[in-house]
Amino acid sequence: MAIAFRIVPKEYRDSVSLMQLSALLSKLPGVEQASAVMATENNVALLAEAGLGVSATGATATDLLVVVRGEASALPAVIDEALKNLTRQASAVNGRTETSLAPRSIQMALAESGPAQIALISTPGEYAAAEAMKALWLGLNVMLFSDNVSEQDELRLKQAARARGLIVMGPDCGTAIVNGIPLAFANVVRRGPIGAVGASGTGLQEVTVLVDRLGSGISQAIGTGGRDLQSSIGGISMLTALRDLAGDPATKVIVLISKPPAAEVTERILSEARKAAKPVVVVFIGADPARLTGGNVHGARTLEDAAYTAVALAQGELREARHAEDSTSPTGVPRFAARQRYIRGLFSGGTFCYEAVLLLDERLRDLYSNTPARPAGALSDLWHSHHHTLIDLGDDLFTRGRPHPMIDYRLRNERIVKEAADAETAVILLDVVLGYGSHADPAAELVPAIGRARAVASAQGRNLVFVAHVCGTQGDPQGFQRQADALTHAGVMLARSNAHAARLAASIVQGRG
Amino acid sequence: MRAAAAARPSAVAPFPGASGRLIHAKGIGSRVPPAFSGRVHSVYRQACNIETSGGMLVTLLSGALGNLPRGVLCSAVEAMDFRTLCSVSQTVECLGAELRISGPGVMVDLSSAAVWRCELSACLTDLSDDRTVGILFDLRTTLSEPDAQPGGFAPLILGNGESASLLDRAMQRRLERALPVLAAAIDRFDADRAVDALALLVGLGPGLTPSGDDFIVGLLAALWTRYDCRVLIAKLHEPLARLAATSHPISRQFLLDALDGEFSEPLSDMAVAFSACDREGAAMAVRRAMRIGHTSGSDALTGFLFGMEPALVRERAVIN
Repeated sequence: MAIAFRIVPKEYRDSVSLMQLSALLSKLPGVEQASAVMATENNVALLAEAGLGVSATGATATDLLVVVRGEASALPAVIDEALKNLTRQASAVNGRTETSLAPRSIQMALAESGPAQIALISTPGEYAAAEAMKALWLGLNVMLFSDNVSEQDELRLKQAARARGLIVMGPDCGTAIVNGIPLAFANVVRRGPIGAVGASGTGLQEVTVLVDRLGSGISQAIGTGGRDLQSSIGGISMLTALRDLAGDPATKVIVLISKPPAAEVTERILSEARKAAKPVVVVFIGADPARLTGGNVHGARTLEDAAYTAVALAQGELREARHAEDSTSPTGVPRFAARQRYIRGLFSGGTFCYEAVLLLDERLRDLYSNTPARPAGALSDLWHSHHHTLIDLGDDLFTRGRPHPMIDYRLRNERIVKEAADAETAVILLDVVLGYGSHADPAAELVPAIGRARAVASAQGRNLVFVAHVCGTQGDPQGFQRQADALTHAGVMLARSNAHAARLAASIVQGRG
Repeated sequence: MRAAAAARPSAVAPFPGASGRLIHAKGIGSRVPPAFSGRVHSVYRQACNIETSGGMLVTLLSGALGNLPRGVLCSAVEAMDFRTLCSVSQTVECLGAELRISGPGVMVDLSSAAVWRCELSACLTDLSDDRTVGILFDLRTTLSEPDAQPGGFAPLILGNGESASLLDRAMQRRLERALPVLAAAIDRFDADRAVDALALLVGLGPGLTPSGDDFIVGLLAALWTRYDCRVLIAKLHEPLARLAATSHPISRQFLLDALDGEFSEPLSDMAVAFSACDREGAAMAVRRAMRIGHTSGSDALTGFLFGMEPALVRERAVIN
């Protein structure tokens, strides 16, 4: 056997390339052993110890050393092949060109992409208003994903948009479906006759998902940003969207979603809704639906009610908004220990938490939360639950320096285990939000945490009940059924909606003992 | 984990010429100097090393790799393949919010990059806690799985099969000489004997960053998180820095940083998870660390395991 080698000076190849080269050479005819390593002192010594010793005088740690042992006649060709391979790798890379300059402004992007109707802006808040104004000047509608935009800037932007016949969705607008295209945190829903306008991202997601699940579809889903219906803004974007959908022939029914607006804004919205020549379903979560209902306007109490009512109206069935209680009692509920009497709700969607607080407050006492919903008591310490506690984990306190809980489940998983260790916890109530932007596989994150929580409770002689609702569709990247199956398999009681989940949880703790 | 504040407040000036490429940085290591000039030292698909005029290596990284103490983490979509963007010897200037590479032109906008600080040296691992030992067993199990061993040290130390490769067999003999000495030296906090053993490993093995160097980086990560090894690390500093000078420049930088308690984000995350007895977090960090390089991740993790508890790797015939 003979040995041949070649020093390739200052040849920096990544580890994978070196491994591939070694493997390739080893398979060539007449080769017993081949190696391509950096020529460090220890590697040169190692080659000698391996019977591949060469006199690599002058080689340094920055040089590549190719050593081959085999039949003498084959080795020159093998070394040639090694050098050719290294050259091929280099030219394969250098042959590629990557010289285009990425757009750095909305104007550049417009010039490159051709006509567009909407600009999605996601920059730090201090720059967002200026970028949004530039987009409006260029005749674009704006979806302003950024938060930390001042109220004055929001008003200025929305007034400018209104003057140009455009709309500003946001700031802090996380959900929209425009012409069938989900933007930011949105679900894959079929297109159809129902148009939705929402000041709440998860509220919009819940309604559009339930509409899809009920067999209907969405024409447009337009977010307005959470402050739009405050007195200072006056509902400018919701009014614009309402008028647009009223004039849209593809939209047969309109759904408006918000927490209760300021009184004068409510009147303005309802007045505009009554002008529409089509049914309008209004869910101002927490507001009395009867006070919203009149003429073509149908008040709904919950997001689920709004979706059911809208679908019924779109199908030509004029009927009362659905807010009947769920008649069936939960089954398969384990026996609780004496001190287990409380619900611990851990939500990633702020509106889900808000809605659940309002629904539970009708049935349970001693309810605490970090949402602004009344009359739930404010939690003095968000890190520790107290009696019935519902936490919006999307609160700034929790998301500072880490991703939103729809994306990053670590915080919620830790809290699940922590709640399980509390002897007073009976039911853990969860929302699971699917769709673009959300975690790629929420069940894979939650199921192990649920297992740990059960183990913690079980070690102390307690059983826990998990109740969840999955806000998503079969078309979502995560797949509704796959997620639902995994959670069910983990023993989670699945509800069809957020409202249903809250009621189910209440029934369970009320039915204990 | 990371500081959210942007370290480089100035705005980005327009890029001169139309053929260049603007890359946004999303993270920047706390050890990247605020201003420097240098040259492109080496370029790979997911990384570009810049040698500063002071001899330090600063690395531009693809977003998927995680932060480095002297790294600039670029947006994954925009960074694409560094080999198409720059080449060796191009000049580099970094000042404030901009890092510019000459030639066709690359500008890295640092203005919104979050400063990342390695927290590993602030972690303490409690080896008397059963949960920690459980996580170490998890790590050993992961490293011992046949699919997890692409080469390098892990299969030689933790694997079951004998390698047919002459080089691997020689490397295994080298490990059989070095590791028992190293284990005893760590046990007795004997820096001199530890250096004798480490000298057999520096620059040893396959890969651009040789397996031996990656192993030592992982070993140092473990020692930094042990409350009883700080004096030993201090004693190792000078001799190991000298040994590092004999290895590849990129590897050398990692070794020098490791001596100062500075490690890559995946290793830092893993140490944080270990110190918190977070089994799930540790498993995620291990999976992420295993994706570093071809064998670098598994070699570093093997070193970490050895540094934590040599007995866990001693069961293998390497030492017996």
